[in-house]
Amino acid sequence: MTAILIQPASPEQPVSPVQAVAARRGRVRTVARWWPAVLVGIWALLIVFPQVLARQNPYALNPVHALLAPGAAHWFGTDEAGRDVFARCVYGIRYSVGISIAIVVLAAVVGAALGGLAGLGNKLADNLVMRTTDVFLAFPYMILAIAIAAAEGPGLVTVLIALTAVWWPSYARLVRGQILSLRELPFVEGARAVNTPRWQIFSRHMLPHLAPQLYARVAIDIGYAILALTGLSFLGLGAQPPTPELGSIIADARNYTLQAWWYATLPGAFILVAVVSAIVIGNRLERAAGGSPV
Amino acid sequence: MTFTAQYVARRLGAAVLVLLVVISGTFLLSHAIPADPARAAAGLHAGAAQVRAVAHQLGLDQSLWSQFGTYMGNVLRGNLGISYVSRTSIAPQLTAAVPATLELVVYSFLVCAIFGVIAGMAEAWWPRKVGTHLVRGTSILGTALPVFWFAIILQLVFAARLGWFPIESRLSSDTIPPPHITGFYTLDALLSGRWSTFGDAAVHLVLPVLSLVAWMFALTSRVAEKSFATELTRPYVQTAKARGVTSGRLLWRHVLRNALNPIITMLGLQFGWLLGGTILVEVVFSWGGIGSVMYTALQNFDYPVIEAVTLVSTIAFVVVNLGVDLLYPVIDPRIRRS
Repeated sequence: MTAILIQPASPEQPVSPVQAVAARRGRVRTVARWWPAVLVGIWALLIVFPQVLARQNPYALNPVHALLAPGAAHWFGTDEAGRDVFARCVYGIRYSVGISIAIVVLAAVVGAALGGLAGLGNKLADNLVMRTTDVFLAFPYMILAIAIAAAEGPGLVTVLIALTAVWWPSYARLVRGQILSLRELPFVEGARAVNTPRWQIFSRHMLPHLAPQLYARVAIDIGYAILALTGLSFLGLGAQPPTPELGSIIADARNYTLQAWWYATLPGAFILVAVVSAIVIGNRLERAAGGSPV
Repeated sequence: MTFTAQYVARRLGAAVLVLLVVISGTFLLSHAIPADPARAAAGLHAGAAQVRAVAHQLGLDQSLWSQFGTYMGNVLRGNLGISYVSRTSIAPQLTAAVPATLELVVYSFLVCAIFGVIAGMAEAWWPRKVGTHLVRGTSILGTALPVFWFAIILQLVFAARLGWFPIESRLSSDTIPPPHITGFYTLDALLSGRWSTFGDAAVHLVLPVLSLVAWMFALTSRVAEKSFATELTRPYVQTAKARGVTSGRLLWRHVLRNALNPIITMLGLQFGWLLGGTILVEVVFSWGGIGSVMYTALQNFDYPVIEAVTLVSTIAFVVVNLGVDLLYPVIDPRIRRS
């Protein structure tokens, strides 16, 4: 609202100092409004084109340069095989952040569909879905994810399945709860009165109301998914060598923490920044959706 | 039957049901998902005949239903199966490891609960102070911390570089463990009056506990802040202020009890996170609890051990949440009367 009121003055008009200040403030507001989008853009760019930031090959072995300290040639130093740690981290974003996004989006879609089924379907469907979520939520989620991933055998796909499996129930519950409160509102009753099919009530009338909150939740959860995914990789359940995934890089580095401090510590900074970005974007979306940041 | 008795009975019944479902769940995880458990048990180099023999020996060639019956019977009798790797019973191994993990988890939980609630209270009381913004900012950073990485950083800085704390394990190699009473080294040392052992155990606890607390503290203080902030807008607070109640008394006697419910719910759920986080921390600090057992089992594809740790952790989680449920009527008389 205020951003519309304080328009930058047009060039033909004489600019008073007050107007100039207002114009500058308007520009600042515009930047403040758009920086989350810029942040998303930066991460998307790094996932798709890691080579813009990392010039070196993350797989290139160079035993002569093993465990070099950070310097101009290798910003984050090198690992035990002489690979550039910075390049491995930047390429690792693709796996750590990319797969976390996939996990949460998948969990949200599955959860929203099943939650919709529970909220709008018959009693049996509702009970079935809700009792299933009860079972999943009875386990500590990391432990359950570890158990599922271990049963399937290590790998990135495994971790994707395991974390999606532990994450969808919370979305199913969220969506079902929202539907139960939306169901009583006049516009839904109206839609029902004119015989709109249930799935259409869900997709056309309810989903647009749910979406903003769902987006905010997805953004924050992507941050937590990155933590869970790198954690599983750290235990050896995720990416297998030589794939550069941030959690597994730190796991590899554990044998060298005392000789090469940079190897285990600097990759974690990428995780930290990625998770903070996700949480900050999520809080922003949440505020835009009208809720308070969690 | 009084209402409270009914409430307790209902909660207990629900918890037992959940436990039965959880046992079935872990059974399915270990018997229905892995492509060939017998091959994993026999080892990578076993021939077909050997795999068949192992399958027969472990009962893996029977129907899923009869395997389930055996499994359920065993678990209910406290028999958690036999490790594929060591070929010994798992239950004694876990009994030795559980106190180590519990010691870590309980201390982290207490530190987090106490300081989280106090921080949340302070943030809600002084919403505009610089310190509040500072704590909130660090909170976001805290929730974004990868716990295993933070543990490594603490280890590098405070143990390796500064030498303030030991690098790993529960006791120094030259300290004799205290006699087994509770399994908590700190508590056992105190009970048997060995002060130097107590000091050694306590010093070893600092970094692992700090790693676990960092993440949980942020969430606790934020939920606490919200809960306190909501309570502070209520009319009874105004009334108390008008009566001239001191702010300390107002916060600790009037507001705290009312604000506690959501905080306790959240702490109960956080316990589940703690059980997962402890695995990562134990790996970094070579702690020797069930997390280390789990890690070794993961390296060796030792399914029965993985399954047993999953089960034990989940039972702990269910029990803690049962405790939370039973705590509500104690704290909140409204639940007792309704």
